[in-house]
Amino acid sequence: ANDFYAYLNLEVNATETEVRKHFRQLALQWHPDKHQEGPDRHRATEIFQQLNKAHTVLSDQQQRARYDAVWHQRHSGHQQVPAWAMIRRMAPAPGVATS
Amino acid sequence: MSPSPEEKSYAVGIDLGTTYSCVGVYKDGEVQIIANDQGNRTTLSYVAWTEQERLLGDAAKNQVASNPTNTVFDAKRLIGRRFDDPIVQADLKLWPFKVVSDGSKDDKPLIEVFYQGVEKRFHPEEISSMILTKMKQTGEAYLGHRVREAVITVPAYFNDAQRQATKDAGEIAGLRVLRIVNEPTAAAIAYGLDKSDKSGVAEKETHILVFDMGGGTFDVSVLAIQDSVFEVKATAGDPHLGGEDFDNRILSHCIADFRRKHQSDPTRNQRALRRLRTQCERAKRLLSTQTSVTIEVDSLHEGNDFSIRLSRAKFEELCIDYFKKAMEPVEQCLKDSNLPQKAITDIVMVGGSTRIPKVQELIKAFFNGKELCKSINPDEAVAYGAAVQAAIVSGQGSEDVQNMLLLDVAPLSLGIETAGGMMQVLIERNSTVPTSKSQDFTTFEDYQDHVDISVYEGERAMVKDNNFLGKFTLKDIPKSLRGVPKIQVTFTIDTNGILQVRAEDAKSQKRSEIQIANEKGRLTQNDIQKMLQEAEKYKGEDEISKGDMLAKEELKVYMQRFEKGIQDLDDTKLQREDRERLEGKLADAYKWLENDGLKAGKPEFDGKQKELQAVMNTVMLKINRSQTEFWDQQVVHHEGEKTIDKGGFILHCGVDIRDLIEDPQ
Repeated sequence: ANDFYAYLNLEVNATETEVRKHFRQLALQWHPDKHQEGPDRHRATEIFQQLNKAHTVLSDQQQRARYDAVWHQRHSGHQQVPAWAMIRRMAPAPGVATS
Repeated sequence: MSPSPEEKSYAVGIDLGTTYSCVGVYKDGEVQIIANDQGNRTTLSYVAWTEQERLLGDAAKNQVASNPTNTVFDAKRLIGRRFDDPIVQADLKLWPFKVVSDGSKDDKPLIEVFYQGVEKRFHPEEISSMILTKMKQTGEAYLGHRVREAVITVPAYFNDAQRQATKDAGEIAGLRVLRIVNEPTAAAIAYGLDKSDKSGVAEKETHILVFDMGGGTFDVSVLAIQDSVFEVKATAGDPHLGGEDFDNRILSHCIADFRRKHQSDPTRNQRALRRLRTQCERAKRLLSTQTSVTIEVDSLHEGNDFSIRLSRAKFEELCIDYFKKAMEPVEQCLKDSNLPQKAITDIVMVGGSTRIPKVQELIKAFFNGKELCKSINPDEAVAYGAAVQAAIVSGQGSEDVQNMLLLDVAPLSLGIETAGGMMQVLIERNSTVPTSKSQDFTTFEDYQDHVDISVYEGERAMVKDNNFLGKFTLKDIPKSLRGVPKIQVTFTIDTNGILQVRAEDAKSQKRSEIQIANEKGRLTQNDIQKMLQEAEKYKGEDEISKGDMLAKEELKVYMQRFEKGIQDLDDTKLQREDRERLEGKLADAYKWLENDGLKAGKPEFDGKQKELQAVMNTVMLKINRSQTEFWDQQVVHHEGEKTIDKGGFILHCGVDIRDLIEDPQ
């Protein structure tokens, strides 16, 4: 659990720009505003909170450096990107690479 | 979302302002700002009671001079506050209408008016709901359909009580409040749409600063905009600074002049004050375009006419401290956003008071002469953005709007009380919402069956300087030795910025929770203000005392682990002389803590801990256990472990890896 890179569908050496980009694209998919009230929104909220945590850590240089140490021990080599972290192609930016 | 498919209903966006309100709707692919029955696109936030009827908006203000005590305005300055709030007490003196306490424990303010010869009392929420009703009707008259849902805006710096009260006002007006949105965020949407209309969708990330100064409140927000995602990076503000404060300064200046000229005091003459204030406000507006103005009122008081010439320079002199004060949140916000000044591509000016040349001049100077963005309408931008958000949330907008997203933040840090009355922050200020954060706690004493947790909001290191939100008790923890139970405490903030706290015992699965927004009598804005200002002022002092106490707690916890470590190692591993050496060191440390520890600071506590660690490491190396492995265990256990004041301590800090991980050196 807590593989923040997998949550944001990123490689461990992702740039700051990539971190932001993936967070925003996934936020568009999973922000509770984008989901109907009820179980759907409930699930989206939980996923968004995970994305939010991952983004908070990975977008801060200091926190990220410390997290990287842990990541290499725990997650390196067996990274599993959750199904919800797959980035759909966004309408406004059709050419975006989804890695 | 509408109750029946054949009855069409719209969701509107309402900017509920201190002095003016504005309503907009997203329809046929664009936002319409709706004019009221008088043809005005903004409506005065006034309510009046005459002998015959209740008047709303412009009609209420038109008769204010003849009926000052029954004409109510500024409800936004009262909403969600207590009567004894110093801000309310100060404002009280300037209002011609009467405000009293409801006499309850919550000490809520009530507005007292005479209507048809009978004394009537209203909560500020009720006054706001009347204005919202007026805005709703304005929308319905334009759309020809019922308006049932609305997004209402509040200053970004409003606290939960004020947000909740505003939401209540909406419900009283018969509106389902889809969302409470921060005003600068709404303004940013208006700006973003305006930009993308002109230059296509912006692929590149841009950062903007929204400077929102209205009639009564002042907010600053920094946002990042990319594609159609609007992300608030930081927000700051002064909940009690705006155009009305400037009016008051001019008013005081005029009263002083009148006294000098006529040796009589008009301050008890409500009608005179009201007439004079109207002219002061007019003068202020004119001074944005001309360099001097004459304030004239015939037969103001005791038959004396009043006339004074006011130059723009004099006006600026009267208000310069307010203008300068407004630059502090700008600096703070920029700092919090971690962005260099030059990263700000546009400065968006919103709210009527941003028309004042001196305000523009100061902010321009702050950004080294950068041009300000004035392409959006400062009076309508907030309602415009609220209308877009209403379309997003209700799913009514076009595809463009459905692809937009607003990521807002919580304006204040939230945390709990730990040992020595310190604040342990769980959710930091400017965290993106919705968010949740968990921390594990355990008991402090053997066979302890409950843990008390006090929840606070604010930026100071000690909880006594922050605002108490509520107390929380987890009962019926299965009895066991200290440190064994695992209690998970979770803070959750939803999209409206409302906090919920939950605790669960892992073993018994017992749960208890509180929703902070339901707690009455919360923090006053004055407190927030004071807290932030003090936080800045006392930052140095806090760092010292917090550092000392933390170091002491960490040493204590380390010593307990140390003790347990010795016990856990059996004699086959640990030689007797080593055991004695370790025990001796520990005993020394305890003795030191009782004597020298009383007046020691962080360096001494840290030094002591290092000393113990060194001894332990030597012994560990000797008995051929890898040092790193030992450290791994230590890290998991002791780092970030802090005791809670009234029993229990934190096991480790959830995902806040800064507390979880420490270099193994």
